[in-house]
Amino acid sequence: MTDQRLRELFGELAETLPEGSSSAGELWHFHALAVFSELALTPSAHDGMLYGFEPAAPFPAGPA
Amino acid sequence: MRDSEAFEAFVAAWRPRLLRAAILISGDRHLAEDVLQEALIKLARRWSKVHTDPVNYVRTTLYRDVASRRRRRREFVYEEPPEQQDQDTSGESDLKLVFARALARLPVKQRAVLVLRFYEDLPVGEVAAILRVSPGTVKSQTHAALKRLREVAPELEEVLI
Repeated sequence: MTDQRLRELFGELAETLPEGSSSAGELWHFHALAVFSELALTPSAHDGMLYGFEPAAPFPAGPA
Repeated sequence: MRDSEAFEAFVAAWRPRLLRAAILISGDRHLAEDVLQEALIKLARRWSKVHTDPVNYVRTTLYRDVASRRRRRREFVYEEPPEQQDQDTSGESDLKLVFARALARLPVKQRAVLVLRFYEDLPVGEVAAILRVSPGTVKSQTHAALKRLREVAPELEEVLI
């Protein structure tokens, strides 16, 4: 079995296979792009923080 | 180019080929789509670290995930392309089916070695790096896979002299 013939067989077989998604929608794509959006929102992303927001200030105490 | 744009360009250029490689390794279109999507999301998360060689990061992830899922499910199901199920009975088409069915009889690791070497056309060293094994293991797995193909499909031997 020559290497070249194997390459040809794989190529011929691959041409019969789909190269696009059959699943409904492309939700993964939104997930993937959301990753970049999250990173863009995160000045400290590379320091391990998920979001760069300051912690919310506690509610002010109510009237005594 | 921003990271998200570079990622998009990578996906547009490589996804079709990676999907076909994943189908060849897994033998299951839906499983292949699942693992490729998960691999691309993982790639997005690690883009800043692996953007210099994203395709091999995805190949490694794909193989690992297919092998992991196959260990849980054991079986291999090759889906015959719809256009060939009823009408095309030419010798060439028969040979493709024989080849596909013979591939289905191989363990996942051997299929992965053959796909990476002969469909992706990668050198032994690169295949070894992707599969996280030694080059010697890639060579021995290739030898074992070809021997197995000849055993389960003598028809291939006649054509591939």
